[in-house]
Amino acid sequence: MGNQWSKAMDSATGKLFGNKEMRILMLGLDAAGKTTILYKLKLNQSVTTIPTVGFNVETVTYKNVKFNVWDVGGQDKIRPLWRHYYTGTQGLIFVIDSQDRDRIQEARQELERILADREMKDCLLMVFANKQDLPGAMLPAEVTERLGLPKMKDRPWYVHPSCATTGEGLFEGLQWLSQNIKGTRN
Amino acid sequence: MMASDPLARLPLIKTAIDGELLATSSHARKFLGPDDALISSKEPVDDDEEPVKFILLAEFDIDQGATLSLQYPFPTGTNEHTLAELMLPDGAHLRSEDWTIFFLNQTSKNAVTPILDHESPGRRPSTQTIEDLSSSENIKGRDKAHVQQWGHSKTDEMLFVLNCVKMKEDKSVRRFRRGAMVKALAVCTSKPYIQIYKPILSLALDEYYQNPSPAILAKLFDSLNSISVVGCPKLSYAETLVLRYSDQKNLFQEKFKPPVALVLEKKEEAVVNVEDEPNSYRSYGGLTPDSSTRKEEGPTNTGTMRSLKERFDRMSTGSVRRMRKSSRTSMRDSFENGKLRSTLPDGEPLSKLDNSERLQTTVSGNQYAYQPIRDTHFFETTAHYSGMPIPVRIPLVSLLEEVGVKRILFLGHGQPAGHVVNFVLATCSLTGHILRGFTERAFPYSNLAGLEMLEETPGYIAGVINPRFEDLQHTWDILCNIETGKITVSRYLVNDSRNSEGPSRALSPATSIFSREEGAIYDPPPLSAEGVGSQRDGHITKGESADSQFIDESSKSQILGMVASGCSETVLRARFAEYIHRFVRLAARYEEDSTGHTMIGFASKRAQGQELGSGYDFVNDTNKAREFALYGPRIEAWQKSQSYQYWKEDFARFSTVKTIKNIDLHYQISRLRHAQLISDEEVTLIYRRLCEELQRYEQVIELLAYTSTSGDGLSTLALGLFHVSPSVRYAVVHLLDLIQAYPIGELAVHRLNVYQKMAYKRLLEQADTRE
Repeated sequence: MGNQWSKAMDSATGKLFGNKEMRILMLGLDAAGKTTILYKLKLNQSVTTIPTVGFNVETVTYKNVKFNVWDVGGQDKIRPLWRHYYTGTQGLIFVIDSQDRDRIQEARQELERILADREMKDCLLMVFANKQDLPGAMLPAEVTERLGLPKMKDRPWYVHPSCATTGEGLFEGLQWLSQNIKGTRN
Repeated sequence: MMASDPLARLPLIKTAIDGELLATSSHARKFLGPDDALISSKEPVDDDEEPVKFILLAEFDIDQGATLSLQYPFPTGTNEHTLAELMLPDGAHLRSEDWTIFFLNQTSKNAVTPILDHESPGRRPSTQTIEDLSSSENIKGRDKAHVQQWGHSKTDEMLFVLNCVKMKEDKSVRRFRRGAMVKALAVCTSKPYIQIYKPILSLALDEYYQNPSPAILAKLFDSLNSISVVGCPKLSYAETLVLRYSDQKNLFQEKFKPPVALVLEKKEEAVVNVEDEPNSYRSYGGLTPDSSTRKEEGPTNTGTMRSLKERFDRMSTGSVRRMRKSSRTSMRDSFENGKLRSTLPDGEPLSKLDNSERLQTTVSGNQYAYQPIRDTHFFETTAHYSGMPIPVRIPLVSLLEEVGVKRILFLGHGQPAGHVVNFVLATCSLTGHILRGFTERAFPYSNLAGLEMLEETPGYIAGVINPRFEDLQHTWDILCNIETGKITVSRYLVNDSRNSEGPSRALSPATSIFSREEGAIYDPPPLSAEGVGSQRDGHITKGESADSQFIDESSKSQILGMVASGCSETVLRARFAEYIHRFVRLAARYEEDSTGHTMIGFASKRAQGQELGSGYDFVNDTNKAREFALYGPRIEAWQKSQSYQYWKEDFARFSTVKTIKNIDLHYQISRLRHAQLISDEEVTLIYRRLCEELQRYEQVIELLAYTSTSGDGLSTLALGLFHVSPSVRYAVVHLLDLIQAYPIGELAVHRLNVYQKMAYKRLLEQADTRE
C-alpha cells in the first residue's frame, strides 16, 4: 500500500515539475551506430560496440525527461523482430550511416515499412544523420531528400546531424523529441 | 548481476536442474514409465537408437543477423531463423558465454520434419547439408542411413536442445569488421538428461572457433553418440521413485555391476595389461587417462605388466588408483583453464579438487556394497572427444514432469539466458512424478522470435530475458521477474472484461510501463531458483490460503520453513509430490461426490469386515466442507486441462500394471496417520493385508515408492510397533521382515528412528523366545 502511495506521490510531483517519460525505439540498418549512440547518451563515453544480439535498453534522463531507449539489432534477418517493439512507442529514432550511400535506399524502404505499421501511426520520427565525422558523409539535407521525408505530412519529423563517437548532435535530438511529445500523452 | 561464468553456475543450481529429469511424456513413458513397473531388469540400458539426433551451429552474422549455418547430419526441417534466434539469446553480445535450453516437436511451429529426399534440389534447404560435409570425411553413405533410420523411427518424439553460445572479441583481425564473433553450438537429443553434454559441447565450440569446419559437428555427433552406457542399471518406475525421493547415495548399489565383473565379462580368462583397456576404468567413477598419451608412454611408465588378477588383488586391499602424473597435469591444465567443468555430488566444480581425489577407488570385498559408486543417483561413464576423456554422469532418476493452462513467464533482464532456463526447469520439476505434460509446454529459453510458438500454446512455462515481454501482457498470464522477485498477474487475467479490448488499447504507453502494481498480487522476498519455483504450483495461480499454508514460512513443516531450515532439495521435492498427490486424490473425491463416480482415483469407502477402505478420507465433515470450498474452483479448472486427461490415462494404466493389487496404499497410510478414530480391527486388517500382499520384490519396491513420496510413510507404518494389540505389533514385525528381505528394504528400515528400531529389535527377540 505504502509503495503505491509513494508511487502516486512521485507521479503527482512529476506532473507538478513537468517530469515526463518517453518510450523511444531506436532502429536503423546494421552498423549505423545505434548502440554507440545509446551508450554515449547513457554513459557519456564512446564505447567500442560489437553487433547487438537482440537488444539493449537503457534509461536516459535529459532535462527532466526520462527517455526509455530501446536499441534493437539491425541486421537483415532480424528486422522482422522490430515489429514486436512497436506498441507503445512514442518516438522513433532512426539512425542513418551518412557515409553509406549504397544502402540509403534500403534504409528508406525499412523506414517506410516501420512507419506503415498501425502501431506506429502516432509516433514522432527523429532521424540521426550519423557519422558526420567521416569523409564524404551525406549532409542532413541530402539524407532528408533521399529518405523521401519532404513528402511526409502526417507526422512530425526531424533530421539532425550527429557524430555518435563525440556525442555531437545527440542531445539536440532528444531535445526535439521532448518538445514535440504530445502534451496529452504522458 | 551478470554471472561471469554461467557454465559454472548452471550445475550449481543443484539438482533443481542438474541431474534433473525432464522427460517427454512419450519418451519417458517408453523409457521408464509405469509400463515398466513390473520389470526390474538389471540389463544395461542399451538402446540401439543414437540419443543425439542433430548438431546445430548458428552464428550471428554481422551483416545478416542470427543465421543457422550448419545442421548435422541433415536439416531438422524446423524454421532455421527461429532456431538461430533461440541459439543466439538476447544479450549474447554482452557475455563471453551463455547457455540456453529449448525443445523441439512441441508445436507445429517447432516440429521436426526431416527432409528424407535431401538430395532433391528443390527441397534443398539453405544451410549446408551432409553433402557439403561429405567431402571432409567419407560419411555420406552412413548419414543417409541416419536419414533413413529417422524416417522409420518416431518423428514426433520431443527433442531436448542444449545450446552453448560464446562471444569472442578479436580486434586484431580486420576480417571481423566489428570486433567480435558470436557463435553457438547445440545438441538435440531424445534423452532428458541433456546437461551431461555440457563440457563436451563447450570444448567443441572452442574448437570450432579455431577451425570452423563442418567436420567438428560430425566429430561431436559421433563422440556424443558413442558414450557407453554398458553397465548402467535399468530401474523400474517404482525403483526410480524410491531413488528420486531419497538423499541416500547408496541405494540400489546391488544393481550396479562391479567394475570387476565388467572387466571379466569383457576379457574372460585373459591376462592383459589393464592399462591398455580403457573400458576397465569406466565404472571407477570417471576419468580415464588420455588414451593417446597412454599409448605413447606405453608400459614403461607403469613399470611392469600386471596380470588382471594382480590388479584386482590390489584393488581389493583398498589401495588407491591414481592417474599417472603426465596425464593428470594435462587434464588439470584444461580444467583450470575453465574449459571443462562438471560437478561432483557435493556441487564442487571438478577444478577445485585434486585429480587424485577423484580417482581414488577402494574396493571392498562386499558383494554389493563396493565403494567406487559415489552416488547411485548417477551412472558414471566417460565420453571421448578429440582423444580427451571427459567424465559423464548420467542421472538415473529421470521422470515425467508436467504445465497447467496458465501461461507463466520468467523474466530475467540482464541475466544470462542460462539463468532463466534454470527457473523454468526447476518449476517443471516441482510437479513431481504425478502430473505430466508440463515439459511438453516448457520453453526454457525463448524470445521475441519464439513469440508465435508461445502464442499458440494454451499454457506454458517459459523463460525470457527481454523486458519487452513485460509490456506484452496479452502473451502471458503470470510474469515472474527473477531480478526483483516480483510476480505480476496479467491485467487480462485479473480483469476478464478487458479481454474484449484490443491489446493496443489496453497497452497504451502510459499504463504499460509503470502500472505493474495494478495486477501484482505477491511481492516475495528475493528467492533462489528453488524458492521462486515454490511460489508456483503448476496450474495453481491465485493466492489462495491453502497454498499459503503449504508455502508458509513460519511453519517448519511447510515449504519456506523447510527451505530456511536447510532441508535438502530431495526432501522438498517429496513434499511437493505429496502435496500434488493429495490434491489429485481430493479431486477424485470431489468428482465422486458431485457426479457419483470417478475415473481418476479409488472409490471412497470405509473399511468394513474384511474389506479395506479406499479413496480420500476426511478427518471430519467440517474439514470436508472446508477443503471442498478451498480447492473446488481449482479442481474444476484442472478438470478442463490436458494434465487432467493425462492423469486419467495414467491412473487407468497404473491400475493395470501395479503389483500391489486391491489396496489403496495412500488411504491406509493416511488412516494410520491422521484418522481420529480407527478401530483395532481396521488396523489389524491393514497390516495383515499388507503382509499377505508383499510376496515379491516388485511389491516391496512399490510399497517403498509410495512411502517415500508420502511424507516418510514407512515410519507411519512402523508406528504399529507400539500398538496395544500384540497381533498388530507382530504383524508390523512381519511386514518389516518382508521389506528387509531386499537390500533396498534393509536401507529403508535402517532409516526408521531409533525408538522404532529398538521396538522392532525387542519384538524380534520376544518372537524368538516365544518360538
